[in-house]
Amino acid sequence: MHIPDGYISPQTAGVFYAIMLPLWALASRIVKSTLMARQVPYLAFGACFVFVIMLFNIPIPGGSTGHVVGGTLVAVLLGPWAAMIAITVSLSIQALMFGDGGITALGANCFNMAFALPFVGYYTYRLIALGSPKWSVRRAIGAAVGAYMGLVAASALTGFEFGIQPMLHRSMDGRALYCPYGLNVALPVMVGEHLLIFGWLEAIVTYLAVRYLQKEDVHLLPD
Amino acid sequence: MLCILAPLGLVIPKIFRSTAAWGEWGPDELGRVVGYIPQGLASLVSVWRSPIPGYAPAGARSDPGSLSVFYILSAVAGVMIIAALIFLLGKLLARKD
Repeated sequence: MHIPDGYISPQTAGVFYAIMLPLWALASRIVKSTLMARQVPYLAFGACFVFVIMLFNIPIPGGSTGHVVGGTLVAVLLGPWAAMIAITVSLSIQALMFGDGGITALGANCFNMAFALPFVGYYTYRLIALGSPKWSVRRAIGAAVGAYMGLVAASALTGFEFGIQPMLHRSMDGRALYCPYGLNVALPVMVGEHLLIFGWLEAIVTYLAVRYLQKEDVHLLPD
Repeated sequence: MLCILAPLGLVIPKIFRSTAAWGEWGPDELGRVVGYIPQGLASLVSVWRSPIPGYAPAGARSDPGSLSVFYILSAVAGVMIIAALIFLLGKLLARKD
């Protein structure tokens, strides 16, 4: 769900950069006051994990592909603000170095995958896992459900951002200037793909990762 | 902590994808599907030329074997850059224990 350059208008792109700038600033401030030096390797691991896992393109019926993000896992381990920073770094490198996601669209992609995804994921996890001990299955399930919801939320936002383009930006002859697919296509496709397929993969990967970490070093999970 | 390296062993290039992910088509592919290339898209698509587009350098051999190698090298390069950036950010943001 990386939006490439050209699919959203400069105006749309600008709006999301405007939203992200204060969020990034806030994340820096919060992380500065809570992140311990010994957690930095985990943040690096989180960012690399997210980057690597997004390299696995999974083909689906109909010929399209998609991927898992893994952002909720990072949020569960380090909090949503640190996750936002980690995912932002990964998305930035993907866009700048590999053309995976546009540069103009980076603000929107970060809003979807670096903000909405880990925040929805994290708070869903907290809601479900509330009160359960660090080693419990409920924690892993909470993280998995959170991951699912987070990914679907991100996909809905992406579909929305794609889908409003033809409504907002048309040329004189009626042709779309940017994404040509309206909400009636973009939203169901994006949400459908992730609700039915990628959300489940995200949930399974997150569940397995949390169970693994619970066995390896349960103290990695914050209280 | 060196499980940063472990996922790399699993980078299997998915070079047999039939089309791009939904909404990630290049201008030509999109043009073929909808019958025209949206003007705004045509002008914005080249606003940034990344060094390694699609995780494989442009103009390089594109057989599956070579693509796999480039994919893995790109993954390694990406991980190293990201790790370096995070450690740099860590120096600026993290509190000393």
